[in-house]
Amino acid sequence: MTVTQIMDIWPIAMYLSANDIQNRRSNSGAVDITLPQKIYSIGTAVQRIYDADSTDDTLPQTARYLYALCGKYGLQASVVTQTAGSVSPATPNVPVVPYQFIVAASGNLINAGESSVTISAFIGFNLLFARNGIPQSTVNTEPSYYSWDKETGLFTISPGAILGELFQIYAI
Amino acid sequence: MALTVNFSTSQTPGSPGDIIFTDTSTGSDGSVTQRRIYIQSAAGDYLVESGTSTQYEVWSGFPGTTTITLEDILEQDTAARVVVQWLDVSNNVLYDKTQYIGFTAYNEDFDYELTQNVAANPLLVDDNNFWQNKLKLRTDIESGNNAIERASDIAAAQQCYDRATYLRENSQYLFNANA
Repeated sequence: MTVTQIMDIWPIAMYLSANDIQNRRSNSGAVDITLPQKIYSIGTAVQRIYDADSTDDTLPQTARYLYALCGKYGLQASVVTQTAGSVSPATPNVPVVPYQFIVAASGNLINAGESSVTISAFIGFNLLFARNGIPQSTVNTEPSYYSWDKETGLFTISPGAILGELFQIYAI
Repeated sequence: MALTVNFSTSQTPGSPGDIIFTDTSTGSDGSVTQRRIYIQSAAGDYLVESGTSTQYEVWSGFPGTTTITLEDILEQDTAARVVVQWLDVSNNVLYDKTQYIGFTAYNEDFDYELTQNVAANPLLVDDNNFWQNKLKLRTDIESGNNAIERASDIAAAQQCYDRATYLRENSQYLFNANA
């Protein structure tokens, strides 16, 4: 435990000890009720010297004493500073850009004559497909339908794409 | 850009009688040629270095010299009204800045000595006399600081600092350093 680390944990150990004392009052048990004040008294004195000169040669002894005074609360505080201080930020839910195009011989997601494509950007989403402005279903007894595998991203249509059709494909 | 005046002060552990002034002004004004520092205690006295005959200390070299150390200007912890003036060559005050400041290095240094004592002799942690007085010392220092920060009340602050000074000056009776 370095002096710098002790400077980080002593304020936390102080309130951890204060909280523990407060909780124990209803459960009995021997505890030094002045410990938070003692930690504060020693901590502020050591902190002042550390802030003025972190290489002061008296600091190792006084900081170690401070750490010893913190006792188990110092250990708890070190856990707080090392592992509980950060949370991975949530990945923002960025809207997926839909596909809208007129079927051509080439150059689009699905070209004339084709009936399947893998849409990687839509994996994990549900899919809405409109063909010539008419919403399509996955009921394969209808004259026109589609299928969508949200796990693999495989998108298939029946019948195959016809030149000049308007396709609108949305991830939802 | 117009000159916006300001300053800060600090004390170094181990040199409790000294005050370090830093000019933190921004902008410029070619008319300013000199500065003066007034340090007035709660009793109304002006504190100056030995040999100074005026009520102020001259802080020359504006704007190039941004720091000045006033040595041995304090004999104990002091709550003070500090005024820094920026003047032209004809001694006209063009700008001034007032701050109420607690200089507590004497008792802070003493508090650290007590911390060193208890670090060297951990049995002191069980000495109620030692701890109660150490906590009083801490409380008096911070009460004084609080009086200044909350109300610019250097009179109340000085009373707090004086109680802390009493603890320091009577340490042989109040802190059982040999326990």
